Amino acid sequence: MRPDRKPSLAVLLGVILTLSACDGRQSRPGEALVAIDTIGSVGRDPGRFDYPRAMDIGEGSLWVVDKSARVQRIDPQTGECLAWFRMPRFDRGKPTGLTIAPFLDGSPVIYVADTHEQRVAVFALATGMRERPELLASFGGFGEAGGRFIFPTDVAVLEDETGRPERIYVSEYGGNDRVSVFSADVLRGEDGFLFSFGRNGSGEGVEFNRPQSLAIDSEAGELVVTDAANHRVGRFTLDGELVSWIGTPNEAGTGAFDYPYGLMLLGGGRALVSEFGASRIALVDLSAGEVHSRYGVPGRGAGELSTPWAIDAMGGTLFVLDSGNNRILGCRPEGLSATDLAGPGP
Amino acid sequence: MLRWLVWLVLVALTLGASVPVVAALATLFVDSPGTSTTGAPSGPAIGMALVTAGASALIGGLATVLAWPVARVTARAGGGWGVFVVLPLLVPIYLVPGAWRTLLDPTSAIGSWLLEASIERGFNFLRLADQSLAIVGLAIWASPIAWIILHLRLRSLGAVIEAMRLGVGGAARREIALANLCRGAIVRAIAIVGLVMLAQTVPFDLAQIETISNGVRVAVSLGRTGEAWVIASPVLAVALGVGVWLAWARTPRVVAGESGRRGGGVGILLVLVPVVLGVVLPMVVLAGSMRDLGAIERFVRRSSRAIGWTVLNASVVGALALVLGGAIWIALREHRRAGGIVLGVFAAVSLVPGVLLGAAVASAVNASWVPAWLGASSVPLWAAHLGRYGVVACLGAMWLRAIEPAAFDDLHGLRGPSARGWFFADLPRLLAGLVGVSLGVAALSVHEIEAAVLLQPVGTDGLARFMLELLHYQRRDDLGAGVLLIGGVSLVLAVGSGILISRGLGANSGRSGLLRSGDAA
Repeated sequence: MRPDRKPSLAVLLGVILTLSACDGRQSRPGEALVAIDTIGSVGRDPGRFDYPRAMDIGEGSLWVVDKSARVQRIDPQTGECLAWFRMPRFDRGKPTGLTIAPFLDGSPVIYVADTHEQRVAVFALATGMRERPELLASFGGFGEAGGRFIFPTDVAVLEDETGRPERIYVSEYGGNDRVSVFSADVLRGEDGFLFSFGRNGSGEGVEFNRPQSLAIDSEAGELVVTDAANHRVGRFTLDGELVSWIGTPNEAGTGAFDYPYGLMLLGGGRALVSEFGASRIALVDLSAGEVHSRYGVPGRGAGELSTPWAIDAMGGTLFVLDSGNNRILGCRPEGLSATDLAGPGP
Repeated sequence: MLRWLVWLVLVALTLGASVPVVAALATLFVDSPGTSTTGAPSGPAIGMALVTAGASALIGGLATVLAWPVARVTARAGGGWGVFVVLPLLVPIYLVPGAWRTLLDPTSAIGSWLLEASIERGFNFLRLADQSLAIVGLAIWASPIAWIILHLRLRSLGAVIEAMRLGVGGAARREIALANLCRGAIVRAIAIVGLVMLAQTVPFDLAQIETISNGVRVAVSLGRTGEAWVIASPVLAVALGVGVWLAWARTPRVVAGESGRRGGGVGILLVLVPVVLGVVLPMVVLAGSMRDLGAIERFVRRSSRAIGWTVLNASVVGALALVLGGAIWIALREHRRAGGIVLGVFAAVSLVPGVLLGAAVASAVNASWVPAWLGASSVPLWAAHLGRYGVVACLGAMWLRAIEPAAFDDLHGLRGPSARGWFFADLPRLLAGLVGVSLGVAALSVHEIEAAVLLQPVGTDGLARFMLELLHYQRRDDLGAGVLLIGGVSLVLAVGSGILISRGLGANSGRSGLLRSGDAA
């Protein structure tokens, strides 16, 4: 997941987009989403998906990885596949995390949590059909020692003032559930491992059970983590100290969250969380530790959700990776402004 | 009156279970929205067919090897031990691989070693281990099927076995000679277990074994229904052949031979081997793999509605199986050929891969002329489960009919066909067996996944989809809790089923006092 956006840009875009957002097709809490866009369908042709399970937004495009180990670049306006490539190896399993973030020179690249290859692979942005872009960096490897992974799930990049990577956060599961932190040196092929925090468990301390998504709240200087199989969302300092948990393992299915997978920060201490188990989207007040409202209902019909893995926004539209229905739904939830959903811009 | 009622029930249930398959096949030849008839397999499916045949034969062979010593003991000790022997068949098919896979966790010594070896040597040892577990797990699960066939054959050889004991030669030579006498049963056991494997998907999917049923799953998940039917065509041809053969085959009359020397001691322990391997050890491994046994309590709390919904549906499926079993028992007595046709239809439908059956039912209920409420109800799920497991009720009824002494037929001939006669003379001795078989069908319905995931609407409370997710994503505590719970429910149903079947077989074979032993001989 990307760090949240620069407020000035977001405000500017928000003003522009407010007009276009006022079309009355807003999704109300507790109801099926009003889909203003439905992108993709089931299949393995370009533009179609075979159980997509990670998504991010960058360079004006949606980037999606699915269970056929393909990374696709999708035009959100037309739904057309602009470029795609397949991961180099996937016989042990497929990636579950994908992040568009800056590389050493500040240009955007693709960070893939190559889950079953126990590594993070960094590729240049794909431009061609079936052409695998240059592998710029790769780090990790199997193991429980510092800097190694069992099953990495997501990557978040903390940028410095110049827009270059300062720290790289990687979440993982598989019995060694934790978040590992690296300096940008790791992208140069050096040992950039700094520290890790958390362990496998369901306690009130820093314990995780499949931390699925990461996002950096640069406003608050915090890292937000969806602790999926513990049915909670955690706030941490950038050095890994626990600030608070929202939800508890004991409330699964009835309380705050039901397998929270996807995460998107809105600014102002709020976040959207996609609940894989309950097939809905939760608007969360991170500061108050409360769920403000929920959008979407389970199903296979128009605007209904099935096991949504990821969410992100761009141009005033919230895009929900509706994995079980093999599509991306674009919507505008009531209560969220166009500024909230401005995204990273073109 | 009775005859008309029986035919009505049989026609309704048979159509309910088979029409979706026929209708789905028919739609392949017409342009039907929502059903892709394009996208035939990109290459010949010979590879998949070979893998399917190889895996089925291997599982059939292993299951028969496992069942042989058990059948040797039970042939002496009596079929009452069947209560224990059938248990592995009625617990979830994914129990064994699901449990032992926890030992392949990358943080375990074995899992870590396998993963490191896979990375270093560029060969996926983890997948090989997964595949081996799936094969062995399925063999343990299916071993009761092989046991039934071998047990019946060995029982009929009681006197011969005793005579062989008195002959010269070592134990190994005698065993080989006996196996030679049973070679027909051994081949049947391997073949029938192999056939049952054709319809299974989940364990093959988890282990990435590219069988036909797994190819069908992939095609269905990609919305290529037409391609799924093409891929499944070899299996469908086999299913059709089996159905036709069963429809025309004669109902065997099982005559038990002398059981000879009663077994005991160490021999009896052999009976427990499949139960230990297929039920007890996996449950212990699962419980041991959980960090927190409180997860069971959380799972129950979280899934109480799903458990209730699943058990309720399984109860309905069990009740339908009870009605089907009773009706087909009467049909086999009154009109063998018609009863045989119903048996053949259910056998053929049961061999259709579960995913394809689920897709066919879903397609049928989504037809424009079908009322929407029907598609949104549980009726499609009942139809699919009856299609998958109705054959068990049919075979149970057939067995009850087969072991029935000829004297009962003579009594029936004197009495004539009447509803009153059936209720007061036949039902009392059949009831335990029929209810036992129905409980077995209910147990199978509880943990069925392949068809249920396609028929259970997203968001509906039900265990199938949830368990599939847990199996795929290895959420260890939840998986352990879920499988332990479903395994426990199945086990209760299985034990009840086994006890009732055992009593039912005793009653129907004339050993209950309803008929004197001299009459039954």
